[in-house]
Amino acid sequence: MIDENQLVSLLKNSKTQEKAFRNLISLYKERIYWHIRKIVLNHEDTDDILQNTFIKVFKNIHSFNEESKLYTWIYRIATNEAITFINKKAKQRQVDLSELQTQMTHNLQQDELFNGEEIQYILQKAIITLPQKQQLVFNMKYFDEMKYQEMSEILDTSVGALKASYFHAVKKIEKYIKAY
Amino acid sequence: MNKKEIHKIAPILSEISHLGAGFDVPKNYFAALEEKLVSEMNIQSFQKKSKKNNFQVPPTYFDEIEKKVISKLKVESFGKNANKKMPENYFDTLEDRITQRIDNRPKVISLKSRLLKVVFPLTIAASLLLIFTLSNNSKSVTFDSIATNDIQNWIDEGNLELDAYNLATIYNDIELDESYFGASISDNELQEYLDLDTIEQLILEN
Repeated sequence: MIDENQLVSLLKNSKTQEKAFRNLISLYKERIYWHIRKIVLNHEDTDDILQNTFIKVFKNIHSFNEESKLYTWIYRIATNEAITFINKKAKQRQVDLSELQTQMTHNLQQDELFNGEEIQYILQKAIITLPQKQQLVFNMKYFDEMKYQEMSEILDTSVGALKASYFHAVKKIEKYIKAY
Repeated sequence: MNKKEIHKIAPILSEISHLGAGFDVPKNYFAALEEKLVSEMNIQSFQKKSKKNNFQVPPTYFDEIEKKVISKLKVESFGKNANKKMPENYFDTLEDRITQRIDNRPKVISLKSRLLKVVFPLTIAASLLLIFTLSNNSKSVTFDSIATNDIQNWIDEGNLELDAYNLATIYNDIELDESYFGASISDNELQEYLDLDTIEQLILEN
């Protein structure tokens, strides 16, 4: 596996840029895809956001100061893109975010690319009852099993706050599922 | 919080964790992603290059353009007026000279005002006197002895006929100022314009 620092230098060099870019996509495409998909729920929107994320990475690679890991930097861009996208969508439809997410979750029932069982559908319904930040924390920990330290870099939140946030999220979701 | 801890506080969540989120992706989506993104990047790069302006201007061109244009205009203006001379302070005194000329211009007495105040009443009066004198030979007729109704009847019967041609023939020395025909003139304006001396002069002329 290619070293991350080496990949960054190759991305910054115009001669090696394209090959390095292909490598970068290949390395992170699935993890970033699933991160976005759990925020926006449908494949088409996820595909758009994923492409925008990689294009932004490519265009801004020269301003990447290498203080954080490339992986967390890309995750941060993807998170911002996805959050901006759903906020914009809610504004366009003139509804608040929770109403939009209820519609999005309801659409899963007709989505050919959602093959979850009833319990997985209920889980999605439970997740959207959480505040936006808690939703992100829950998805990153429960589904992606990401380390708190990495999450801290991506979400710019302390590890302690993230642990507390996840604890509350788990309890709320369990309560929601039990009551369903 | 590890899996054991989750199991303690959320047994249902712990049991379904192996199921994942339940989402799927289209077939070969990830396999084709690199190619799709690189193509997209190439298109964007081409568009950016094709929009770029390839023409250049000399350095500081836009900083100096105002000066250049103004200098050129001055040179052209000097060339055109080089053979023409004008009195000193011509433009400084121009406004005063124009104002003075406006104040000194001769007043035009309009035909309309004359007709309204002098000519028509005189013509009517003379005609009435003649008619009433002829029809009443035995009595001496004065203006005071003619009733207002008689004068009105006389005009209504169409005895007063004056056309533009007749007027022009009789008053060929009067300058007709067309602008007065359509304008409305107040009584005060007319009174100011026609003082007694003017009326007497008009009577003598006619």
